[in-house]
Amino acid sequence: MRCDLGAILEIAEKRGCAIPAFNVYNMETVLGVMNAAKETKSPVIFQIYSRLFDSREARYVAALVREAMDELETPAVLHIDHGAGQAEVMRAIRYGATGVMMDASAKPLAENIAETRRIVELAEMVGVSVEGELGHIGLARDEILSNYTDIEEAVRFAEETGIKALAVMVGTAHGHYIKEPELAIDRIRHIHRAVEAALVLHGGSGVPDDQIRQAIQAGIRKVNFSTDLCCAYLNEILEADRDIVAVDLFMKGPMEAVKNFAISKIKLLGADA
Amino acid sequence: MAKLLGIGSALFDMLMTVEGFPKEDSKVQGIESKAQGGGPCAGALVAAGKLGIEAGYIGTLGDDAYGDFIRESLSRYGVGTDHVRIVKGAVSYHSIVILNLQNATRTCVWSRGNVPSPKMEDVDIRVLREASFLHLDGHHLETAIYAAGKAREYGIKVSLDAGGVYPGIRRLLPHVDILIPSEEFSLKFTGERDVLRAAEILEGAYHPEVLIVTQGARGGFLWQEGREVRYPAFRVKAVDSNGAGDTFHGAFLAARMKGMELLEAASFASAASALKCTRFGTQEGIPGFDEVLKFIQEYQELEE
Repeated sequence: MRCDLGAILEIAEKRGCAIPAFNVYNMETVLGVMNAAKETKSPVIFQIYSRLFDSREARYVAALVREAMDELETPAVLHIDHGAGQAEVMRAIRYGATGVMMDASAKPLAENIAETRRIVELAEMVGVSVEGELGHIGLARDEILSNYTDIEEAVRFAEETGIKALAVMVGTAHGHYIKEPELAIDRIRHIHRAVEAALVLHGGSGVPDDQIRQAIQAGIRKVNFSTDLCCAYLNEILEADRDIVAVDLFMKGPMEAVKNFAISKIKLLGADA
Repeated sequence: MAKLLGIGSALFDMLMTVEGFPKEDSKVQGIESKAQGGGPCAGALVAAGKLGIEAGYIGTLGDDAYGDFIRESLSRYGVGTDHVRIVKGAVSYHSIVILNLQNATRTCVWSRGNVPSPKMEDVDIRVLREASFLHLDGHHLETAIYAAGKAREYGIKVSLDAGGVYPGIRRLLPHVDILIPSEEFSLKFTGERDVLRAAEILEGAYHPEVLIVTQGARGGFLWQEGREVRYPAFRVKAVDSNGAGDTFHGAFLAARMKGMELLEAASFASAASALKCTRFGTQEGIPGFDEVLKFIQEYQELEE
């Protein structure tokens, strides 16, 4: 069932859980996530990385997701992850996205606000909610992580942009962690109290389960999983039986691996009914 | 099932030609008269219908003579009217046009009638889902925006003939895949004086899949990767340019549905539009597919 990003995050707020957002790239990953949502009767967010909107591959992946959303009886969102600019975001909207992320977090606050605000204005016209990012969430391999999201800045950012979801820097990063991350749970709690927008945790892959649970208790409502979903899929491909040449049959295992991975995260986040 | 659906203006025109404009409070004999269907959306659908595409109109009409005429003229040219809601006792959109042959002027007296705009319920989602394109002209805006939102949900391409800068049209633009504004719209909407700059601004704001700016008899251009790619203007002796724009829009979509590339489709649409101008009648003058191909071939031979 198609659902707006803002509405699915309200469900999370009501239930005190978080909704998993899985990055999808192709049919196997879309179907793997869809089947996981079906089995657990969980709301789910399919998200497609901004780069795929540059190369226009997202057009085809979005069509798969739209079919999956139609089939699901539980709320589902099609979202663009880390929208790099207006071109990517507008394409996402036209491809049927029900949520968009504008990421101008690497820019100074005023610019970040202005760019995100512009996207909110456009997306509002078509009834699509926006996720913004404040406090740059870098790569796990970076030596030094950025500063945590500032609470006062978060209040100002959310108010001036009108976003429905806010990605915060609270100790996570994208990719494989070298050292186990330590989340700033108190910071999450304080931002959650101060800001109405739903809080989003990027770089969910590799964060220990107990920290994820604490983060949700503190107010995280959306957790992104990309790296670990890719690994679940690719590891299975590398181990699959090379005697199978029909690609659909070959892909059964990898698709199942995506599903099992997604189910484990749905349960971890408490999103299953 | 219609592959092309349209929501927008469909109206009745009474056209009369005169030699010299009548003085006030006088009677003057007309030379030629024509009752015909008009409206940008209806015109585009008729063009597509004549070019061999299954098209359908979604809208409301009165049960008056004008409404009957509009519906019959759509059907005559192959446009489905199963999704037209007939409103009892309502007066349909109509106009009287006086063409003064002496000064080549066109004077129009029009009435919106009192037909209510189509509502969201008039858009049958099952029918919309089966279509490939939804064509809009900015009229019946609320319903158009609703249908465009649904079209996005189902992966149906939304095409907009952006002619008038109507209040609220800004809200429709983010939905649009195929944005074809007139030069006048582009300049007025962006507040620019240079049409290329206007195209750049429209692209920067909305990033439609296709952006074409039409410039009447001067042809027009596709805006591709930050530059203009012009399509040809076919020079003809115009006898009636009414409906030339509508023809361009319908023919462009028809050409795309027949598998033509963007520039080829725009050139085809330009030719169809030029050929239309050589014939009398807003809808009657719209050519068929083979006629357009023949026209292009003959034109090219003449050029060589």
